[in-house]
Amino acid sequence: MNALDHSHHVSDFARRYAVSPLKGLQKYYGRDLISFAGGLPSPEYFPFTSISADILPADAFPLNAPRASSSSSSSFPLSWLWRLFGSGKDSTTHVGVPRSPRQGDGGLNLATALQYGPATGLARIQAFTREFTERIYAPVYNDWTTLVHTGNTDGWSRIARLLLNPGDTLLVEEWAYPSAISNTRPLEVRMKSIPMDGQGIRTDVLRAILSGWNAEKDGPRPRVLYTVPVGQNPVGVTMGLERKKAIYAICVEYDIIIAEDDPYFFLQVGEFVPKSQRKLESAGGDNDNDVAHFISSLVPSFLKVDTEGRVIRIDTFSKTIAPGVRLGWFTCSPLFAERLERIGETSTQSPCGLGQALVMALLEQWTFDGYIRWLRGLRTQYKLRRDYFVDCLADEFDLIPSPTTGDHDDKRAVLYAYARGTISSGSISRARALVGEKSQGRDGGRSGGSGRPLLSFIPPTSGMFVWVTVYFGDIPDKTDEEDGTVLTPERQFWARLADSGLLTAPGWFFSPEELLATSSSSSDRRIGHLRLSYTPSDMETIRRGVKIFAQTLEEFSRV
Amino acid sequence: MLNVTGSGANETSGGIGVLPPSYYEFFLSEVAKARKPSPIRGLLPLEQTPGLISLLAGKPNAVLFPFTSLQFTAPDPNGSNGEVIHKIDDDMLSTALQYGPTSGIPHMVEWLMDFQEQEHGRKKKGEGWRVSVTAGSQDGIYKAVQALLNPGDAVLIEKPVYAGVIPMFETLGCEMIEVETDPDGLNSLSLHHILENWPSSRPKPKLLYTVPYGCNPTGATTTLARRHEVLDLLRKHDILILEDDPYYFLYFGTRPRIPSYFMLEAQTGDRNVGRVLRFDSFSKILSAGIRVGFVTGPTPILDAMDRHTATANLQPSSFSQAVIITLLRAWGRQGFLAHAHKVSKFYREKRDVFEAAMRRHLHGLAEWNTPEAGMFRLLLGEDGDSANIIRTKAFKNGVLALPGTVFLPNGAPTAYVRAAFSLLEEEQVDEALRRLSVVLLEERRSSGGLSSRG
Repeated sequence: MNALDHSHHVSDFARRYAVSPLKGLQKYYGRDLISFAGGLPSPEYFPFTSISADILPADAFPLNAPRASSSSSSSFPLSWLWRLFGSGKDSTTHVGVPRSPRQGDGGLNLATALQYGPATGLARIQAFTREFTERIYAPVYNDWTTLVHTGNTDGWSRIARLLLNPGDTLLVEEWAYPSAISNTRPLEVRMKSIPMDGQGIRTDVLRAILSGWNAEKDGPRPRVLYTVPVGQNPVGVTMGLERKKAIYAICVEYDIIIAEDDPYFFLQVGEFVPKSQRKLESAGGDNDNDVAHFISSLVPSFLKVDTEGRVIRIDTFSKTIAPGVRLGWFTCSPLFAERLERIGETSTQSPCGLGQALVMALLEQWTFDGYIRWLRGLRTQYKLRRDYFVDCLADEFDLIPSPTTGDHDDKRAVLYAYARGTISSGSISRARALVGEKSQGRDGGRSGGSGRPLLSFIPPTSGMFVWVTVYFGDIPDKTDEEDGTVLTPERQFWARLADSGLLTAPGWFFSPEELLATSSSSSDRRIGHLRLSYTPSDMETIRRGVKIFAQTLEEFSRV
Repeated sequence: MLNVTGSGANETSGGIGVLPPSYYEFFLSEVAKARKPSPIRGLLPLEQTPGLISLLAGKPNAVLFPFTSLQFTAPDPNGSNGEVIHKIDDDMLSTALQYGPTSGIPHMVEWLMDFQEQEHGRKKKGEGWRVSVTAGSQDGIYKAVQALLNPGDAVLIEKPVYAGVIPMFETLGCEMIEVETDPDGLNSLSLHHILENWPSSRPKPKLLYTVPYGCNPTGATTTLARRHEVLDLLRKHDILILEDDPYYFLYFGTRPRIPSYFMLEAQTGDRNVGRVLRFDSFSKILSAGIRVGFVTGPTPILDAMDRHTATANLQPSSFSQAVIITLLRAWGRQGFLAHAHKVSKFYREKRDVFEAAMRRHLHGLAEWNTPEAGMFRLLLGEDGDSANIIRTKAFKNGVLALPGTVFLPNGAPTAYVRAAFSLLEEEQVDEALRRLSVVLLEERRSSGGLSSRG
């Protein structure tokens, strides 16, 4: 079964791209044809005569985190990680890109990598993305295809141009990646944001929005849904298979194309387990090298349920290898891929050839299974960092879990954070029992004992961020003395953190409405949000950062 | 202050006036004005504050990157020292692998600013221009077009024009106004005629797109006199110029190099600078696949382009930039120019071989001018459709060239073909042109539809 014909979704803009004038000529290329047509520069004088790199072995990172010792909570990961990083360099392998083409090298040579290349990328990269997609995501319709791009921002930007017409409404998550929203702004597209729960987009609301759509008042019914289903940026939640099926069914019913932006797919670290309950093998999960077992431990992609070719998935090497190479790929129907290629040809053309070649050299050195092993080690690293960050928060606040209210399939717990000792010892021990912590003696009653939580969050299941909801209580708005703008408590708190030496991303960055200023924020100003990224810093810096965060919040809330 | 018509330029040292940021309000497209700075990228510079802890950006931790060292070899441009090993230092390696600034990694931007200052005689302080690195020159042009043109706007282009820009204007729904060209490059008389007869009822074009060196496809280089005339006209009519100059470093003529528009605008007329947006490319001299180019021009336009980049593709590849800047810093400006000179000499030799073969085989069958940069354009008879000959008969005889029709926005038939000679050895050139001559002779014999002007 092939993809359905979705040509009616192609925007007026994307329709205008003619087929490349040279494309029609390619069929004539033959053995004895001499060409003056191409206009390529001579590679003879490209000055790069060799390029090579040292790479870590695929198993540089272990699959299992060491057991957390409850008595030495602050020291365990540090020494362990440092030792590891120190030893990593000893066992590197040297990989290089051959200078000249060889039979069957799939373009993996400098002559090809340094030359103009098609927007489809090196042949070997095409083959890899295809095999990888097949084995990991297992698309269900037949004629799916892959196409390289220069990172997921480029990918989504091209999808937006492919599908959206001025006046269209784009369906987005309640909180969204700012660049994804901003790049639709010049397209004169409206946003409809959908509330989320612990599994992301709420199906009940999605259905209600679509069934109640008033085309006369609101313009054409939405045709495109943009989602980051795994480790959603900024909220950090992951959409399970059942939720994906339910959303897909609605999209079939209302003829909606799903843009699946999935940079954090391989950083799926599972539910947060409190420190005292953590077992040895909780991250990589297992020691066997079974690729199938690894895949089964990850929430499947929308491709797994896409019978009609209405999903355009974007993958990236940014989180798994390195963002500086700017390389990723689309998986979609051939009809969409052809137009996406045309749109790319007039702007970024193709990803950097050297980057493609070195990434490919690395992958070939590792082999497919080796890359899977690398991804599993990486997942353990991200799990350690997630756990460490939440542990740091647990050291600064009393955390009490409370079940969410959302769709039936959402069983995620929200953690509410209280200033230490502000709730009664009875409720603390009940709470500790719930989060599995052993009760320990603590100083009591130092910040007024109101019993009000300072913040709440759902521990992320993938990605790089903890999204905190901060409860400011009755702190009033302020007016900026210089330019007269209204400073909500969220903005005041963000500035206070920055003044205290901690830079964070404020919640309004991620609000589609505020970003597009389509509505003045009517949201409850007593509640604010912050996105905290726990990946770039080392452990010690994280700990200091969380301390600053906790102290500043307690001071700020006391006013 | 200089008193300049309507634009209120600021004077700097040396009597050069700089068009103020407000001048560009008129030129920026609605789309460009609607773009807001990327909030997170806007805060990234704060991360450099000493002592600050940042939980801001979603950058992967550098210890998780699998590359632990990176090196390449390159020939010594100044002599015969053979291959030199360039190791990318540890700081640069982290930069290469990580997310980086929208407008390019700072070392790279700095080097290019210095380079442009010396190459084009433009002071990097106080003249209102800067440099942004782009994911190839094509990406830069695309973003400039998006930043400056609204749907339906008229834009001045050369006839024929580089085929790669046609879809940019087409998809925006712009009207392409064709300015004639000849062996002296852009025809300023044609430009004069268009602008002086522009109907008062409709807005004038906001910009001119031109390839001044080795125009693709004609191979013509616009003469100095023409450049002066073009600049005067553009000043008079308040029009910006997109100077797309990928063949600048490949100039292989024997006469002294003609200054760029970017240089000339500071030396002539009212010396009121800020009308030139210049695009340079490394594609012909360092690598095309590496996808790094750079744009030089008025800060307000570059800011608008960067805002586009921040949401469209974030940034040019850090990896490519790290490789290039490591090489450029090792070579220095002189080393780079020495390398560029070697490359242009190579192309001159290729051109001479090609032209000698054309004299042997195509005498009386085709006409051409001798390019001093870029490629050849051949005229196969006075009128007729080269596409027809190329697509059918020439293929059958085993030779392929690019029909001139692809360089015309309306795709009209033309007797021109473009011939690129960069990749072929002498024997191949000879054989290909022999084959072409057979086709042209047959064509003349059978129909006369393609008359010769021998």
